[in-house]
Amino acid sequence: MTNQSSIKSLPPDENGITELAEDRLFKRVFLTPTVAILLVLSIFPLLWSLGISITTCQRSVQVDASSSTLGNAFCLGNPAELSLQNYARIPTDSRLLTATRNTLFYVVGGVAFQFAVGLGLAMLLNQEFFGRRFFRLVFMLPMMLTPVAAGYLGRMMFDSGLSPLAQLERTIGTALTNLIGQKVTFSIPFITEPSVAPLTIILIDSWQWIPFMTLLLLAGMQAIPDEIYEAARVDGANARQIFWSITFRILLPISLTAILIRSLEMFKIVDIINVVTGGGPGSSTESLVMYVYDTALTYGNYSYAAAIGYVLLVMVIVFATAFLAISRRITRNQLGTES
Amino acid sequence: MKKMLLLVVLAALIMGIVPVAAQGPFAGQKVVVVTQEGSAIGGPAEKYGAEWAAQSGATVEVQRFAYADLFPKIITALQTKSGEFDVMIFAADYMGDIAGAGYIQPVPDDVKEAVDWNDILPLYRERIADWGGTTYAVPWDGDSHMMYYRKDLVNPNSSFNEEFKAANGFDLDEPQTWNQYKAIAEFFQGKEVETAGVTAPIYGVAEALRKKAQSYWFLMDRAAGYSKIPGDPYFYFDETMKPLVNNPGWVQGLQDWIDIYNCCAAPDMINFDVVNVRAVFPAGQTVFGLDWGDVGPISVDPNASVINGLTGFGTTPGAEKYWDYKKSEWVDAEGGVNKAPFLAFGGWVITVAADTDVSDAAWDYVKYISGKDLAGVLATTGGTGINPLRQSQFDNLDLWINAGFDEESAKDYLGAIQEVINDPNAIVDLRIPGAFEYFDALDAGIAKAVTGEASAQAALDEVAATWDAITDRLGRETQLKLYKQSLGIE
Amino acid sequence: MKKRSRRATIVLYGLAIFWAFICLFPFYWIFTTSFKRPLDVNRVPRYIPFVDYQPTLDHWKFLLVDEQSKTVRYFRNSLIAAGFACLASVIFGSMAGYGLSRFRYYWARLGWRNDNIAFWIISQRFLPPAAVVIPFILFFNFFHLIDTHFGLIIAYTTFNLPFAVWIMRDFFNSLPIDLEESARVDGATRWQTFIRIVLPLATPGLVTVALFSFIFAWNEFLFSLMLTNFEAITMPVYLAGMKNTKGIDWWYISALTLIMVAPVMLIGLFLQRYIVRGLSAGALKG
Repeated sequence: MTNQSSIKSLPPDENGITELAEDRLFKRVFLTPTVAILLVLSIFPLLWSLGISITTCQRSVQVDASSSTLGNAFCLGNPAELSLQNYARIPTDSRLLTATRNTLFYVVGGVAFQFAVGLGLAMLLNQEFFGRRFFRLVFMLPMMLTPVAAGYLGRMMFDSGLSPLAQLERTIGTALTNLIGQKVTFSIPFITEPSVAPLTIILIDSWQWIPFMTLLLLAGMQAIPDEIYEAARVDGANARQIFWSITFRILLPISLTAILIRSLEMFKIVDIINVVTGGGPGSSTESLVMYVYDTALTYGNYSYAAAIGYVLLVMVIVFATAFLAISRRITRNQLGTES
Repeated sequence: MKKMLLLVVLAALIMGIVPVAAQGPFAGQKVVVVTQEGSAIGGPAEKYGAEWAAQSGATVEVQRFAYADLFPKIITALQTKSGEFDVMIFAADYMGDIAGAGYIQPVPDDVKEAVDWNDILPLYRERIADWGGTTYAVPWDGDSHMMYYRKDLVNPNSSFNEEFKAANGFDLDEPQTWNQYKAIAEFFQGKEVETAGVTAPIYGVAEALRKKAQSYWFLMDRAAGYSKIPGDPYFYFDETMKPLVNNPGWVQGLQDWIDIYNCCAAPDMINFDVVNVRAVFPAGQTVFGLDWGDVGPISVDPNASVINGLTGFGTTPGAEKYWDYKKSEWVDAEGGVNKAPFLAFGGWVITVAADTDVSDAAWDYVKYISGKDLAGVLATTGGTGINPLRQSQFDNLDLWINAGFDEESAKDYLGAIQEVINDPNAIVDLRIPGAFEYFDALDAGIAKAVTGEASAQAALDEVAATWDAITDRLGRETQLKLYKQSLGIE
Repeated sequence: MKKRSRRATIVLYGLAIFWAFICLFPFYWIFTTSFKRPLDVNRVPRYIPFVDYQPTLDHWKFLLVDEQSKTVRYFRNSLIAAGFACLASVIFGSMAGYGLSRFRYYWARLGWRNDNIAFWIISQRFLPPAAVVIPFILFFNFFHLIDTHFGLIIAYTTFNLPFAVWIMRDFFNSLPIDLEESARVDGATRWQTFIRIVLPLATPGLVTVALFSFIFAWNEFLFSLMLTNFEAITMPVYLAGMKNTKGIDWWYISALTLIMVAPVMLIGLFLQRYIVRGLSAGALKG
């Protein structure tokens, strides 16, 4: 590497970041707007929630807007006292535990499924073939819906009385009946059976969000220059070797970001479930955020909702930190030889 | 240059003159109304609001939100002071949280006079509109649960009667008890039946069993018969605020429902909202439907119904025996049936915010949209979401015949509603702060029991424990006082 | 271009058509549902207009004529909120992403470096919205931002920025640094390098971020519900209202969904050509 006097290229630091040169003003200008916006808009909600979570703050009919005590002012005029009861209640709240378990299932199962299918579709779209543009747009369509609408679509598709799928099932049932000569009813209880409903939720959410994975991964693949593939091919690598040694490696960082983002969103899944099952049958599909929503906005138990929010925050930080640590190690192992 | 100036002056004059067009007693004032989105409730509030605006000179801004979001939206806006509502039209069971906290004004006497207050049935004007002895709301919609059935199938002259009687020992007729209801539903489940020219298998019942919808109200319909002691007002809690929800009467009610779900429900009923009932029953798919008064006008709407003239209307069934929580024993019902009709939800009420700046205009709007004549029109129009609540609506049969009912059906429909409303044993919905949270706990309990996650008894025991926790959190003393108040005691 | 065997071609098209069917069928279903009378929705599945049911224009007429003022207002509000939030997210997100990719930051007081800062940025998305919506309302109310377009725009920008920063950072990381160096050697300023060299190379990333930001903001529900009352309400709140105590109006839901998805589709159609190949082979060799 040749260095001109005006440019000082530093070697990559421990995170693999290569720096062109020190340029203090420029550096600040780039980061400041984002940091400022986030700081201004998130610091107050964060602090308020933390503060409220260690009180008994809840909606009450004894509202006194004029009261000047700190507790009242902070709790929208409702009486409140300091207390740790909310955090004490969390481990004993069975509804919360069920909702957490369901949510983790969505995050782990759903995101893995979405990534796998999304990667496959991205590879498909990365091929050169006639009609590729058309398919690319069509594959993106589900993502463009609002989750509420995706939920309604899901309900129309999986309703066991009025959906085309149900009719297909009935047709299959009749055909089987005629074939065997014995009455066969064939019907998958998509949203009526507690053991199946969570999978249906994942299916609907995946239908909507696989395109997110596909689009991110495709954009990543498109950024890989042809020359690299050509070179590998000249060297005699087969398709599998090319995938693992080039595509997979280069896609790794963006894949991890995609998985992280989707997981974070999945932690907050609410709209689709609300529309499709309302959290039922039983308590099989209720998610954490549905519970937080009810607690905060319907029951008016602001402090408990904030406490759950903070426990969730800690969980997600642990999850995300672990994920990033692991992924960083993988990335380094994968890319270690290159830089 | 001068011409230009003249033009500018002229333009300014014209522009200055035009907006003065608005005239009337409340010219220039703006009334903000918040209510439900959609043709039900929100539609009439806006349509007739515009009529009122045209004659009063005021402007009306109707803020409309989905029903599921309406309570969180209103209560959060009130608590954070981020909404400036003048008129709020909401479900009667918000009263505990909204009137209790002093967010609304008492109804002035001149408003009562203008809307012909005494024409509104006593139950609504005295109990639903009341909070702590003061009238805070103008009732707009009367609400009670009813049973709908296919009277072409379920009657002693039906071609199915012989077969049914042979199996069950009594005639096919409007069921009086939940056991009869179940026997009839079970009998018809899967039977090939002709409806409007199409022969297809019919299902037993359509009821709202979906989680996070209205299931708890339909459990209460059942629990009412099995656990309401005639003459004793306590139903949800006893006089010490101990939950009654897990006593044998309630458990029997829940067990009945689970049995119905397992033997003779429409497919997907576990996912039925009451709105599915309003689609499935009029589409001729089930023998029974339980709903508020809404199925009535829908059943005569040719766009939505194939059973016009085939619908029978009745009160929800009762029970042969009821659980007396005071004596801790089952008691045989007097006359064979203990019926306690349930005034679920209590209907929509109109209220005026305490901190409004346009109080007079707001009340004038209320007078207009809840006037006697308009109420008659609204109650007979399908899709307005407004059910009858005035004596004049029950007396005037023509109103209903003009709306598409045949005379027999109209009598049947109004008769069933009146029977509910005039029943001294009728139960009013739980109207205390935290009502939503109590109901949600019950909702979760029902959902667990129906899917077999827990037995009926275990599920309701858990509900009772949650109810106790909610009561403790909100203050047992206060809750008890408010509960008694809501029952009209003290 | 490499040759593909006949079998591979069949598999390729088979998969593509299969998935396209899965993506498209629900859209076909709501398209037809928006022309069905209630009874045609509530009795048995009906598939083809004029063949197994008689279509009606009533629902479209209701939304576009009877309720025109509302539909138009909500639609315009959604466009404004999502459009500006998308613009702001792309601009600030790409800047911060570039900064985190190319410079070393060290916030001495906290002891934070790039990775910590990036983590802090993404952590802004960790709290469930329902838990922080009330302080947001208080904050917005204090600054008179309730029911304003500007309020929604900054709220949505805040939600989009973390993702925008992360995605852009990854894209910049994957760009070779040599080009920027040679541009600098040729005397370009940092701004010029960023605008003329870096951004064009990162077009696929920018377009991806723009599309996502727009979609997130366009479809956001909870904050629109809580932060707007009348003037600034957006489409998702309207859509949710189509389920009310009278019924689930499947036909309005269907028609509104189509109305809502149309502009996103147009934007997708317009933007997708830029996703193709931001990194031209020629540029690399330079």
